[in-house]
Amino acid sequence: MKRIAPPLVSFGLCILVITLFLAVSTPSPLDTLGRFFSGTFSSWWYLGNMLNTAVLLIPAAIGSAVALRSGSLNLGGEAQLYAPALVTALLLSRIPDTVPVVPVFLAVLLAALATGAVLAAIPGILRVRFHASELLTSFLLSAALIPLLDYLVAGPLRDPGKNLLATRAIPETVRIPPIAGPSSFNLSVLPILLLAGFWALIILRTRSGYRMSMTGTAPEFAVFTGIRTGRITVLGMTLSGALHGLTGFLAVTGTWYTCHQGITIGMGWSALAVALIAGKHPLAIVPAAIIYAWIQISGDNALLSTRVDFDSTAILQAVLFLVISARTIPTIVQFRRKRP
Amino acid sequence: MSVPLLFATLGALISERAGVLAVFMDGAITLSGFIAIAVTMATGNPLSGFITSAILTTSLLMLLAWFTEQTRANPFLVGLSVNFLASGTTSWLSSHLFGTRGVIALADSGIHWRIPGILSVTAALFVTIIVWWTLTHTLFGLRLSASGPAPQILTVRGSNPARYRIASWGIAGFFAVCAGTILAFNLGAYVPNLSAGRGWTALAALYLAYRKPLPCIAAVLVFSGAEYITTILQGTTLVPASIILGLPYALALLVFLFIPQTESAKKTP
Repeated sequence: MKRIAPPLVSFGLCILVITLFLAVSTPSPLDTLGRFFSGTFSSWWYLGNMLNTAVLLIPAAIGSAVALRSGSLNLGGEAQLYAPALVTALLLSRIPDTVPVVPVFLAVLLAALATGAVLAAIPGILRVRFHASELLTSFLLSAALIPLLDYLVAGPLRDPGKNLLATRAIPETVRIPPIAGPSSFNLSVLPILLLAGFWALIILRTRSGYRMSMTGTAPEFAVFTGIRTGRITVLGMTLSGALHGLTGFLAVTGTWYTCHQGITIGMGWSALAVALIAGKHPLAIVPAAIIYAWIQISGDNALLSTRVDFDSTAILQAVLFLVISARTIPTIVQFRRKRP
Repeated sequence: MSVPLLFATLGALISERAGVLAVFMDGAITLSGFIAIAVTMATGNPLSGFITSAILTTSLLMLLAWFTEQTRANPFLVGLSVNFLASGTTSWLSSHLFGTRGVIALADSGIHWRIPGILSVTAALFVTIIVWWTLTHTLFGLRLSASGPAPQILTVRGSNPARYRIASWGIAGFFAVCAGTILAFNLGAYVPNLSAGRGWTALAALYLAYRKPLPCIAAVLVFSGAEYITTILQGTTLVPASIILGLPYALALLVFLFIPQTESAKKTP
């Protein structure tokens, strides 16, 4: 119970704050709050979309968790999601129909993973070689790239046949089939759950996982035991970026079938929040992602019935970051404060 | 034009001296600008807008700093949460009070008041000199400078370094308010994302100035010059606007890459 308490408190506070905001903003509080709490379960569409959001969050959250475990804070999640999504949509929409599907699918997946990996590896290398804070470099790189990506999607790479700010739709053959149509919940849930289990297995039971955890929690000790912390830091960031890239890939192939502006819907930050809430235990990411997705989607739904239109996701993230920051990575804070 | 950035950079400097990189500057600027405009629209008096904004923003930041100290929280996450909070709260209040999430113009309620340019520039330069003098010549300033890299010195001498950290957040907040209100009043309106990444540019300018107050002036001029050039370029449609939006962040990134980090690397993670 002691281990579950902090995340529950964080979520509880979030729900409370959002409830307050909603209650104040609407002429019919009972109706809005009803929508908030039960609206998601009122139909397969809502439920499926909520689960799909959770499924999309999970790889990115694992990515953030990987970075955290190896002692870094990856704040560049947004671009690490967006750029691979764009790459995916571009490559998949231009392949000729005659080419076999499976190899192309895998190749583009690799491309997406590589894109994300590179975007995160850069801050990692900068930290190890130049002692630049990966916190800032990853954030700045991401923030600098996003307007560029927006421009590309809305400009040169836009689908000229439609009026959306999006690239051309990918062909039917490479789309991941949905399970609970018409919602976006699709088959990707199966490999993703496997991925979560895989991650837990690696970090808890293997030597590489141990090395990574040690680099994150006690870097000096790790160095003394011969662990190459520099490499692990870069590796951690690279994997983090690759996993964010996976989410971007799935967003295109499973949910939207195209890359549109704003495809990330703040998932870069949500993933970090989920990873922080999940805390020490890797498998906790799955329920944390589900609860987070529930709060976000329900909040959006409830907003529709209010008089006021506001960015509830931002407030959600603010409260979450604030509450969980109180108990997260105390070792990193301690270690960094003591540096001469 | 570089005045808001100078204020922001000074605020970031003070916070950084106390050991915490001020990631909340961006959010604080936007929030304070919003409060200033909102209160000014309500009361018709710009000064009241500034004062209210100063009180509210500084108190909020000091409260969060106290929270960070009490719970040994990660200050970067708390700073990030300020950014999100500013974004969400301004959008909520803006929608609730003014019915729109877009631009809130002072002119709509009949207020046409601008800060005279010469006044703000002189004020900024004056403040820079005060900051420099305070940090190097007063007891408070010296203790503040020590609280970041060597808090044990303070503890040994009987002061509480946590108090200085909280104070540094408050002062940084006050400078953010100055920056935000100047930005807002110069525009004559509140626009969403008022700071436009200037909070982050302030952090970069801080490192460009080798973390000293007086060189901040030069660093800020460099960044403002770049911003000015991009504004001109935007008008000539040679460079797409989206790329220009990303420029503050890209510039800040470049600064981090190309300025030697040896000394500061040991101090800030």
